[in-house]
Amino acid sequence: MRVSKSRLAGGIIALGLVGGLLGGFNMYWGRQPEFPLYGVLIDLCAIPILIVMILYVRRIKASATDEFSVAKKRYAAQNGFLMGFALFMLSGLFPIVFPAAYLQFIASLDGAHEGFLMGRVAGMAPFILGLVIGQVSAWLKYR
Amino acid sequence: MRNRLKILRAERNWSQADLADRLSVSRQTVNAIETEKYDPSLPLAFKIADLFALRIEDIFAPA
Repeated sequence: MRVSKSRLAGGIIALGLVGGLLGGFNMYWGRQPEFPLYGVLIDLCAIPILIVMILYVRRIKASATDEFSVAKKRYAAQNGFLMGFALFMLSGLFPIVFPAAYLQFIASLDGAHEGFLMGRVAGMAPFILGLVIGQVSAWLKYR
Repeated sequence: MRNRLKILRAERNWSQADLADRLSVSRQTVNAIETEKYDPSLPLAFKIADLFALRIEDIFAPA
């Protein structure tokens, strides 16, 4: 590990700031009746700088990461996905195991749009929970 | 996998951080190998053997 984590964090923050500013300004200029000439000039100068910054951050990321941290992340991701899928399958049993509670829940929804939003959240939640479980299991294994 | 990393390090009065610096890995990596929670990759095992001027099988042994 030749580069410290703080240097990598600084690089990522700087990259995020430059990328965010450039994206924000371009969105603003894009909404003007005509894209300003100074915006084009700024883009011409800033985009190569952004590319160089991306390459630099990629390089320091490779230097700040070692095989053990990669192994930990891989373990967390694999467990997280498996747990997420298992929880997703389990959540599908809810209408079968608790039909009355399920019907009451469906009746409480205010129309198809709310049902759609609830479905999105309920479909995503097991995987988010799985990610957390994956991180915790990796931490417990390698602490 | 069992290993003699902790003994070899202690013989040289190196801290985990010293050894990590010499191997270009994190201190957590050295700790995980010493506590046998993690088996190093073959390139890292060669690097460790090279650093201690020993053969891999003199440092690592099957559990």
